[in-house]
Amino acid sequence: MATSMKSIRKVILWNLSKKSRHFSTSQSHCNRHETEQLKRETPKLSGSTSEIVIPNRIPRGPTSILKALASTVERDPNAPAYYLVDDPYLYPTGFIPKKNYALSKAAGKRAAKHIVEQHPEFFQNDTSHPKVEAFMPPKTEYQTTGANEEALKERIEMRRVKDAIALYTEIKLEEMEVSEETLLDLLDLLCVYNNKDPPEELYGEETIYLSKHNRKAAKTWEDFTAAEKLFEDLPRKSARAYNTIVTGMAKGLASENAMSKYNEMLENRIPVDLETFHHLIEYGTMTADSHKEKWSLVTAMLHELKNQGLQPTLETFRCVLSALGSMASHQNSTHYVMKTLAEMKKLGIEPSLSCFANVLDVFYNKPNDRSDMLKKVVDYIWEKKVPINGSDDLHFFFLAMMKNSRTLKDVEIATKLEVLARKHDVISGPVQYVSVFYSLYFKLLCMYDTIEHVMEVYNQIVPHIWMLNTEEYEELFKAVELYEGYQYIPQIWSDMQFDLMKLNDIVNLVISSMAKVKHEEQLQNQFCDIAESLISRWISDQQFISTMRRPSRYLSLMLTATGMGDLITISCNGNRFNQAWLIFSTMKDNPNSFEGVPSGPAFTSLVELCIQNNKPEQAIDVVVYMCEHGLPDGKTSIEKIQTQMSLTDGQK
Amino acid sequence: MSNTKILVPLGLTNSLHHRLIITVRLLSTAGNRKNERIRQTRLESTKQEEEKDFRVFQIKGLNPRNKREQRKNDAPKMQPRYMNMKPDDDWTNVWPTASTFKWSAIPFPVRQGYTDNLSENENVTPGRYANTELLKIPNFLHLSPGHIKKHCQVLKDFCTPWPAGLETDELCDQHFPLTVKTRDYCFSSPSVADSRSRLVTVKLKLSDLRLDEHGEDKIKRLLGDKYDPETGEITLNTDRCPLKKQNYDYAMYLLTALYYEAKKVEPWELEKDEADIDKYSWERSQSKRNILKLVQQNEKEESLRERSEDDILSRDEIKSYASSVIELHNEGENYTTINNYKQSVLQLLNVKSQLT
Repeated sequence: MATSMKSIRKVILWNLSKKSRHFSTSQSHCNRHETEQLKRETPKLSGSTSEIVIPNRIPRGPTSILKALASTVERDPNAPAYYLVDDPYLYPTGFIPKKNYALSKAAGKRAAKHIVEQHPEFFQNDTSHPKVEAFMPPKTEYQTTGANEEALKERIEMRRVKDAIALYTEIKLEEMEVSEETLLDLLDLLCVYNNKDPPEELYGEETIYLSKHNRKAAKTWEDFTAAEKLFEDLPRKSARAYNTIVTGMAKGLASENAMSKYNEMLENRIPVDLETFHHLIEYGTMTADSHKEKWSLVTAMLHELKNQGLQPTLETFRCVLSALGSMASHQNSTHYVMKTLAEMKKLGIEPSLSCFANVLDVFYNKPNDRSDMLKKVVDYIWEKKVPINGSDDLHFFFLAMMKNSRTLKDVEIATKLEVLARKHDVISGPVQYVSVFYSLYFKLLCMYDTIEHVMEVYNQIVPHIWMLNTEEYEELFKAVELYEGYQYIPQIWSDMQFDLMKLNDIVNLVISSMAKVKHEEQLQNQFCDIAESLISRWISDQQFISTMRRPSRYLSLMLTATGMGDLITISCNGNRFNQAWLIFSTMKDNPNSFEGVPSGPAFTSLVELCIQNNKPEQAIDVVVYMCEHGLPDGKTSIEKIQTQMSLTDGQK
Repeated sequence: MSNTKILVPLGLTNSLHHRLIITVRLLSTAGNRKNERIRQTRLESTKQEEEKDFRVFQIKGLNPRNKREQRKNDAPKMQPRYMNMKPDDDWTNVWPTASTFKWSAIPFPVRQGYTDNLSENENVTPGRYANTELLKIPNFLHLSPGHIKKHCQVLKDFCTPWPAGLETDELCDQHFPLTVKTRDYCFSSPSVADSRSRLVTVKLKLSDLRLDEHGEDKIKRLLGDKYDPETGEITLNTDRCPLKKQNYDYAMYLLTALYYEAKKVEPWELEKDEADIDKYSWERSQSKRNILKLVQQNEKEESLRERSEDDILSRDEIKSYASSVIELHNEGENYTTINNYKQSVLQLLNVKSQLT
C-alpha cells in the first residue's frame, strides 16, 4: 500500500502514563464543590528537546489547606461566641444568659446522646463514610461473659475499670491462667484511671463553665488497691510493669510509694522510661523535705536519665520547671530556672507557654518581686509566635496578667498579653480565668492609659467576651472624669442596660459623672434623655410594686438622694424644666424612698431654672424644701427670687 | 382534658412517643390545678344560684378579670450587629465562611422581593429583616476581594513555582500532550464519598500519537465517536470501575491497547475496498477513470488517443474538475462546491451557455 509505505517515521515509544499534564479548575456553589483536578508528574521523555523540571510537590496533610485558610480569620468583636445563634434577639446579655446558653447547648447534646442510648433500635442505619463511632449507639453489651481472658480483654478495650477489676478477682479465685500481655494491659488500665471508671467527659461549652481547677496537691492514689495487688501478683515484674505502676502512683500523688518503687528499679537495674521520669520529676519529688533536697533529687533524676541514654524533651523540661515552680521560695530557684532555660536553648527545644508559666511562678513568687523577666517572656512569645496547645497554656495568660498587675503594672505587657490571648481564643478557657484576666487588664488600663485607648479596648471586648463589674465601672468612670471623656458615657450607659442586676450599684456612678460638668447641647441632650429614662423607670417601678399582690423579688431601681440631686443638675444643665420639676416633685412626694441627704447645688440650679422659666410658685416650693432640709444657700435663693421675679403678695 | 387525672403508670409504656405525650399532658395539667379550684368555687356558686333562680348565662369577657400583672422581661435586646460596624472593620472576620444570609451582620441596605399592592409591606420592596428571598439565594459574601487576597496569600505557601519551559499553552501541549481530568466532590453530608468522583477523562491529540496513515485511519475506526474530527482530540471517559484509580488504570490500558492495535496490520485489512476508504481520493476514484475514458473517447484523432494519462491529467480543465469533485465529496454539498462543480463541468465540456 502506497500510503502506508509513504513515510516510515520513527515512532518514539514513550511511557504514556508518565507523560501527562494535569490542571485543576474549581467552581464553588453554596455547599457543593466540584473540582476538576489534574495531577502533575515528572516526565521521563528521552526525546524532548529541553528538560522540563517539575518541582516536587510540597507535602501537606489532609487538613493543611483548611488550617491555612482558618489562620486568616480573626475574631469579630461584634459577634457573640461562635456556638451561639447569630441573631440580635438571641445574643446573651449578661453572665447568666451566657452561661445558660452555653450549658443548654451542651445539655441538648447530652439529651440527644441519651435518646440514642435509650433507643438504639432507631439508630441502626448508618450511611456515614467514614464511620463515626461517637454518633452511633454505644456498645453496652459484652460479647463474652464468664471468667476468661477474652472477657477481660474486652473490658479493658471498653475501658470498664470496675468490671475489669471484678472480673480479675473472679479469675484469680478460679486460678485461671492469664497471659502476661493481658495482665500488663490491665495494669496499664488501672494505673491510668486510678482504679476508678473514667470520668465523664465534658463538652466544649461545658468546660468553660463547669471545669474545676484545683491546683491543690491531694493524694488520690489509693494504697493497696487493685493496681498494687495486681502488681504484686505479676509473675515477672517486667520493665513495662514497673514503669506503669510508678507513673500511676506519681500521677496519683502517692509520692513515697512512687519513689520507693523507683529506687527498687534502680537497684534492680530496670530501665526507666522517659515518661516515668517526667512524672517522677514533677510529682515524685514532693517527698523531699526541703527545697534543697528536692532540687538534688531532680538533678539526680536528670543524671539518671542521661545514664539510661534517654534524650530529654520539652516535656522533661516542663516538669523540671514545674518542680522549680513548687519550690519557688527557695533562694536559688531563679538561678536554677535560668540554668534550665539555657539547657533548653542548647538542645534547641523551644519552651512552651506552660514552661513560661512556671518560670513566672518562680520569678514573681514574693509579693514585691520586681524583675524584668515578664517583659522578656512576653516579648519572646510575641516575636516567636509560640504555638498554644491545650488549657495549661491558657493558664499562662491568666498567671502573667496576675503577676503584671500585682507588681509591674506595665500597660504594654498587658496589652500584648491580651492581644495574644484573644488571638488564641482565650474565651474558650474556664470562665473564672477569663473574667479575672479581663478584670485585671481593664483596671490597669483605666488607671494608666488614656480614655480613648480604654474605649478602643472596651469596644473589642464588651459585651461578648466579657462584661464589666462594679469595680471596673468605678475605675472606668474615674478615667472618664479624669480625661474628660464624657462623650463615651451614652455608649457605656447603653451597654449597662443589659445587666440590670448590677444597675443599682453603678447607676450612681453614671449619674454623678454626667452631672459634673455642663456639656454642649447634643451631649447634654443625650444625658437628659438618660436621666429621663431613669426617673420614668423609677416611677413605673414604684407603681408596679404597689400593684403587686404580694411582696415579690422584683428588683426595682433604687436611687439615692444625691443621685436625685444629680439628676436635677443634669436636667437643669439641659434646660429641661419639666423634667427637673418632675424629679423634684418625686423627691418631695416620696421623702422616705431615697437614701441619704440631698445636696445643695442641685437645688440652687433648680431655683435658677425656675426663675428663668418664670415659675414663681415652683421656685417657692423649692426654696421651702431647701429650708426644711437645712440646705445651705437657702437665703441667697430667696433673695434671688425676690429680686428677679415679680411676685404676688401672697407669694411673698 | 384538663380536669382528668392521668393514671397510666409510666413504667408500662415503653415507647418514647407515648412518654412525650404523657409528659406534655402532665405539664399542661400542672398549671391548671389553680384554675380548677377557682372553677370549682364558681361552679358551686352557680349551683346555689341555680337552686334559687333561673340560671344566668355567663358572658365571657363581660366582666374584666384582674389578671395577675406579669411584668415582661425588661432587659433590652442588643442592637443588630451592623450598627456597631465601622467602615474599616475587616469583612473577612465578619463573614469567614459560606453561610446563610444573616440579616443582622450585613452593613449595607439590601432589598429583594416583589410586592403587588399596598397590603404587602406597603408596596415597598421588602428589606433585609426576615427576608426569605434573601435567605434562599446563594450569597458570595465569603468570597469578597479581601477574602480572596488573604486566601491566596496563605495558599502561596503550598504552591511551587511554575516550571521554566512551560510559559505558553502551546509549549504545555508540546511537552505534555496527555490530559487527565479527575473530579472531587465536597459537601456536608454523612458520607464523604460521591459516586460521581470515579469518572476519569483522558484527552489526547491524535497527532501526538504519531501514527502513520494506516494507523490513524485504523484508530479512528476503533475510537468511533470518541474521536472528535474537528479538533483532532481523543476523549476517553471511563467510569465502569468503582474507584477513580481503577478507572484511571483502565483508561491508560485502553489507550495503550488502542495504540498498539492501530499499529498492527491484520491480513484482512489488505482487503480494504474503495467503499471503506475514509477520505475521497480522486486518484483511485471511478470519477477519474470516467473522465479519462470520456476524454479519450472524445479525441477524434487516433494518434492522440494514446496520449498518456499524465498529459490528460495535467490539462487545466481536468485539474479543476478533479478538485471540484474532491471538494464535493470531502466538504459536502454546499453552494460553493456545487457551483465549482458546475463551472468545471461546463468548462470541460466546452459548453458556453448564456445561463452561466
